[in-house]
Amino acid sequence: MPLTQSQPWSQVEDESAAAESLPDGSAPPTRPSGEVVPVRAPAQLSLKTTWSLIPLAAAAGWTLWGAIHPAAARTAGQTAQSWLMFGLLAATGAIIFVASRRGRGEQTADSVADATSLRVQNQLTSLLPALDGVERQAARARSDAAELEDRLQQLVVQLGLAEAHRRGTEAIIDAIDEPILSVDSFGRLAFVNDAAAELLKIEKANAASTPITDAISEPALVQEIQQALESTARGGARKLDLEKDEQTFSASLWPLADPRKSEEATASHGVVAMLHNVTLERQAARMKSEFVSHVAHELRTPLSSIRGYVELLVDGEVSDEATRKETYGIIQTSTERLGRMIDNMLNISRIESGTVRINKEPVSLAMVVKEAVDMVRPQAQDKGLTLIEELTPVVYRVHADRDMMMEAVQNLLSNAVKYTPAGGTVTVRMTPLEAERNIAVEVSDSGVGIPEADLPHMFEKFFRVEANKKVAKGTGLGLNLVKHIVESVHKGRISLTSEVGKGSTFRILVPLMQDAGNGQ
Amino acid sequence: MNGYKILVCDDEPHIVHVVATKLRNAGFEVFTAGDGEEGFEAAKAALPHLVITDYQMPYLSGLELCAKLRGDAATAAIPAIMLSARGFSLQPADLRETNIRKVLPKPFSPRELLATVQQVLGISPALVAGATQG
Repeated sequence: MPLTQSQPWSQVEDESAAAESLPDGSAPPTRPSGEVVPVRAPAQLSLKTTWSLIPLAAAAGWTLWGAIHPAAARTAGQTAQSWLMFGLLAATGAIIFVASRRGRGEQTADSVADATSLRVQNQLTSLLPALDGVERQAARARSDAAELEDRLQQLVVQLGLAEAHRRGTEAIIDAIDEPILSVDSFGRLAFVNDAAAELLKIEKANAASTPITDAISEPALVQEIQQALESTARGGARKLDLEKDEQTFSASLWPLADPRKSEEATASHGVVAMLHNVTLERQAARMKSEFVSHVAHELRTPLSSIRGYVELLVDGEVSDEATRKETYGIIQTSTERLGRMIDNMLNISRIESGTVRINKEPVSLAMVVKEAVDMVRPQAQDKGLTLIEELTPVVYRVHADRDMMMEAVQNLLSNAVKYTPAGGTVTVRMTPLEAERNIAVEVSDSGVGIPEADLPHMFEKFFRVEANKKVAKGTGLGLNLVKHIVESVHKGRISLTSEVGKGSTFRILVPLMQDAGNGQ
Repeated sequence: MNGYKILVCDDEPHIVHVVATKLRNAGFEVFTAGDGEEGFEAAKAALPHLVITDYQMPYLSGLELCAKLRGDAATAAIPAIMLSARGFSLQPADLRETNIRKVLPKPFSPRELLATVQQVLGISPALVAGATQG
């Protein structure tokens, strides 16, 4: 750029060169007066001043260029300064040179030189403010560049923070074990957390920007997401039940609002979906509903007998006294059965919920068993059963709720009597197991026995052996209650062996107290 | 006796007793059975005019019993009344595939059951009353 700027100067030089080499080589053309001189003298002088102004111009040009290109500004400014100094020195040299020629040169030339020197001086002086401007611009450019660099640094820091923040947020969503994914407004995956990637078998590394139609193999979910994308941002959550890997998921989809727009009715900017695993909840709800239905059934059966017999009595349809008496008896047993069923259910429920009042104290287990045997003795005798007791000494004590333990043992004995045909045997055998600090109570019968397939279900609520239903009545709650009393309340264990047609043995183990068996 | 034969099928002997007493007093001839299998055999042997059965029974449920009766040429036309302690009504398909005319929830009223029996068999109460007196 400095070269092109200097072009006009070199033209002037050519003209002056041509003027100097006049053919006669003598004095310049005749001048009527001193006024003629300017034709030649400026040309002669301009030749010299021209040379000295070149660096000056170069310096100015370089400075300007530097000002335009901020990146080079710092060095450009320094270069401009040195060129400026050089230019000024050169100009001064030219002036001295012109002045020294005055003596030797012609009169007219001298005066012309003076005037020219003055003009050059003026010109240079007038250039100084412009150079000041250039200098100021360079300084401003330098400070601009520094500021930009600062801002760049800030942006880099902010970018790093934003990236860390994003990773932190993703880590939080990844840590949630509920599958979560988000989809952009073009129907492409935007984010998939680990749980969602695992459930939907999406390869997380390649997930971003994959169309959901390719990434998600659940057509119902894809369709629901597409519908959510078409709905308005304020459309609210959409729900969908999804069966996957034998589990039930309740998918909730929320349309995302465009963060740059505030209008209510804008199309959704994307969709975020969460797949809540409701398998256990649904299972619990189903079990609860089955339980209620079962309870209702069990309560309705004795209630039906009561209602039927009462109505027959009211309508005078039971004529003879003997049948009437029998009917009263049936109503009485049915109400007792209802009451027992309700008590059992409440007791089980209280133990399960932990709201049962437990009064544990040192109890001689043999005393409890003896009392329970005495209570079932009349029933056993009625059926012609042999009742055998093999009890331990009373010193073996357990830390137990006396009433509950009594209920458990009595229940086992009562079952044994109920399911053993006339002439059979019911045996209660207690064994201290001091090595393992337990005491065992076994109730064996020579009864109908339990089919092997039913054994695992014997302690379940309302389970009754279908084949034995006609042998005796039951609530299906007794053994469940016994298990709760032994295991939940007393930290013991209950087990069962049985053979169809031969009989069953129920065995409970209860932890002995520390001082047990020491002869006290 | 009014000439009508009814089979009562329930695994609860007390229910069978109540129903049988009410119906016998009303002039019906009553057969009883303690479970579905026994009920099916009794129905084939006695060919009653009506079957009254419990829903939940061992071996063969009331619904299975009714379907089996419908499927057997000898018993295909016998109508049925179901007693149920379950708190649900039967599906339309269950009713289509059986001859169940009415479901009575337990606990039921014997009077109500008698009225239903008369309705299903198309007998006027007067006839029954006369039969009882006779």
